Amino acid sequence: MRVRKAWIVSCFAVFFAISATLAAQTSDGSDNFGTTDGIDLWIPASSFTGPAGWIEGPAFGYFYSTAEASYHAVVPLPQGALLDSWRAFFYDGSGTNNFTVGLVKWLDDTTANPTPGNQGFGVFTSSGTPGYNNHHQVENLTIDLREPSSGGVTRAEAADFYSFYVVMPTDFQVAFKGVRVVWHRQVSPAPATATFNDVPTTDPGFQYIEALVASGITAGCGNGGYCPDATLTRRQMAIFLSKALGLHWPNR
Amino acid sequence: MRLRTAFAVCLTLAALCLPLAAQPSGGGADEFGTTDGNDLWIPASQFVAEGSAVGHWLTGLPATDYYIGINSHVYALAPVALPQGALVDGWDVMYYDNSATNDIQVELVKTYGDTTNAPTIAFSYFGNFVSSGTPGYATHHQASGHTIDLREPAPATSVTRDQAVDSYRFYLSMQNDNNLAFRGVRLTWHRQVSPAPASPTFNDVPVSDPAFQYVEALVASGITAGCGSGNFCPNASLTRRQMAVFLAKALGLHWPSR
Repeated sequence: MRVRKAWIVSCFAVFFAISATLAAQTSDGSDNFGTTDGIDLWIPASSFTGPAGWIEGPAFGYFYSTAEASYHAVVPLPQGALLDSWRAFFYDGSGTNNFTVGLVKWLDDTTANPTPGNQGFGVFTSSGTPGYNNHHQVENLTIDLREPSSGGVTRAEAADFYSFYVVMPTDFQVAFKGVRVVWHRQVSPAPATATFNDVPTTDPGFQYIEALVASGITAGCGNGGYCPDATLTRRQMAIFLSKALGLHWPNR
Repeated sequence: MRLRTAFAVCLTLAALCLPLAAQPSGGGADEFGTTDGNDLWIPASQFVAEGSAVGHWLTGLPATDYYIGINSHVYALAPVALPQGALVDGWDVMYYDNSATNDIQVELVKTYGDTTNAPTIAFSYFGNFVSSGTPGYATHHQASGHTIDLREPAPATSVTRDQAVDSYRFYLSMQNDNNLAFRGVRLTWHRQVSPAPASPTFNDVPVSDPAFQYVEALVASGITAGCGSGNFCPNASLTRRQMAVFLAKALGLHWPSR
């Protein structure tokens, strides 16, 4: 264990002296299921990118900047996720400078005539209270990665995404540790018209059955029907489950 | 007929419905089922060098995708993005050790962090490996069996779980020796169904029910609220309509992306 102790000492001793090379962190946050509130997505400061001078310190996992700049990290949530809230962790030991964090949606037309724009959501700027702290921000935002229908851009051409940004002063007394996002899944809204002649829009299962159709999991029971009141056999259940989850390709 | 019970079991096994906090998932974290064999490949390029090793952490020597610390002792960390409740079966460390005197060390580290008023940073270590003697390219297999738990330990004082930011990383230490190189870690994991709670949610699914754990997992995930009157009706047949509701809720189907 001598090596580990040496590492810890070394790390804390040199935090203020050197800059860190950032590696992209792959994350998609889409691996949890169910509609319960409370799935967490942790986006650490090391996932934020921007100008050079984004340095870990003054404590383990906290980053500060050597130049006034903003840094961004993509929010990798699936389409239709409900972003309930987020909590930003930071350190503000400065009497004059502050720390700002916010959520933004980038509206990008990536075709021949790009018209970038953005739409802001929750923003927080630290004030007064010195030391380690965190801020809780309620959003209740449904993630929609599609380009708004206006503007002459088709949705297939758009590349919208959400990101968190932080605005850092030139002050190592202001540091940022990361954002913890709380989200949950939702079932997509029901379409206007029915796919099956035996599942009208008034059917209590309409929204859910349409969601299976849109996902390619069912094509009905034939003759334009879904047979919603038919009992499910174990064979049918096996087919539904295997299709829905893409089970199971060996990787050994 | 026990189709509804069987369905709850199968659905839960296939799409683990963990009510607990979770962290972002990385490559390889998108497979389903509880079978051993999901791989998470964490290459050397995802290891962030710390301290004096910054700027000395280079690829291409002694072979493509191998990293060495040029004239520097390297300390580096890489995030391990697994969902809450994942079982880490083990991992393979791929490295190059042509040094008679110096070694490579790799282990899994859990970082505890209360970032509120008085940060208390602590670590837990799993599966420490230090290379030895045998020269050349090598792979070390490390068996594990650790269940990922991103929650702050229960006795943590004055910290709510919402305020904690526990996380897992791989830790790499390579001594100052240009005959040492590191390629990455291949981690193997699989999903587990969350442990059963102490008391049942439904009157007709007691703790002794063979599907108790699975039915409770669906409840905790918001996928079912039962069939009314505090029951789940485990022996009732499932209609295709009901199954559609279960599946669509469980997977959050299906939002158009165009």
